[in-house]
Amino acid sequence: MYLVGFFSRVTDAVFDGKLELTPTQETSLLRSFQLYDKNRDGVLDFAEIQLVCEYAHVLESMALIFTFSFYEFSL
Amino acid sequence: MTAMGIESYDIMSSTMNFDQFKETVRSNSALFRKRDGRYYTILSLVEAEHLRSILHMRSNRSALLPSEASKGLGDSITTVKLWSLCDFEVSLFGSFGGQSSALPGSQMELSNKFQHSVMTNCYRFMNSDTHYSDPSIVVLLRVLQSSTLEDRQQWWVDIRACRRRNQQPIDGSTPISNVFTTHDEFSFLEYKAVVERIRVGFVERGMFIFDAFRAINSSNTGLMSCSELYGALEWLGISFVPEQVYDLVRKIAVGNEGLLSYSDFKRVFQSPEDEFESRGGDASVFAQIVPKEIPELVELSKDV
Repeated sequence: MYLVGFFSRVTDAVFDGKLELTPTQETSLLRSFQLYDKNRDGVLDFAEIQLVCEYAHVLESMALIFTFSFYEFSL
Repeated sequence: MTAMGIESYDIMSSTMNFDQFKETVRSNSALFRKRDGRYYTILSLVEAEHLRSILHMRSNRSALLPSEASKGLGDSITTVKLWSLCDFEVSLFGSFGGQSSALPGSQMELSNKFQHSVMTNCYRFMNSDTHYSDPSIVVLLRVLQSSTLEDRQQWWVDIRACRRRNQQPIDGSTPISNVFTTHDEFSFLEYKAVVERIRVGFVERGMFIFDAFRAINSSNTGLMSCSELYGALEWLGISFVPEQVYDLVRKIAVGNEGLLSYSDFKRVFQSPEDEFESRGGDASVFAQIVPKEIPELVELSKDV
């Protein structure tokens, strides 16, 4: 029961669709953006997006890699 | 692009602002999809042996007897797969039922990669495994996001205590520690962004990992203090407040009362592409970085 009780807390929010971000998560995301935004101009440019691609590789997310790569090619 | 849930920014524009960045990361639904009607369960060894026997007996036939199927308990596409948990993955032992054994044109759909990864990593977590890749850590953080850090660690330690495993304490050098020190995948993203940013800073200045450690550790003690790290972050142009420095050090320091050893520093900040640890030469190749004084963790713990 200990096992089941622990993992039964996993909800459908884990899967499918967008997560509603808590304020703390939003702050983490903003902080990540600021770290990637090396020249602190409020937007990510070509070189900075390459850094984000490293994160996509961490996730092994082909969708993200594709997105950011495609984004680079379009510049 | 739309099918992947990524449609939030104009790809022809030359930059990406925060809202577009947030939407792109947040709505990455292609990664986190699940397939309904699929259930996972853990079997004991005896149960698995029985299932394996049934698997051989009923090859090329339905997983359920016709009488069971007619009672609405299932249909011809009900299938069963038997997986075995290995060191870092699960391997397929066999499957039966429905048309699963007729490989070409089979109606048995493969699970989504993320769903499969959730299954694998949850079972590895239950199995008291300690070593996980970064993608596996992200999956576990997403699955365990509703549990507190204390609950996760207590649960994992309790389960391990029931096993004949090495019961040594978990520290920052063990990948599972990320699950006990990081609230969710967004915190993990922030941590990875910090690490990546510092690595890039070293590369841009032509420093290998030992060069960087030697320049930052201006006290030459072999143990980097929070003040020294704080000074280095400022030198790299990374905006931090003292509490973030403490969090970072707590996350990566193994022992040494809140000081970073070279092995801690190297484990986290060495770029995977770097073949060498130093450019060689004496310590004067790179000037020492001035620390930015803040109370050290050991001092703070005395105050509590």
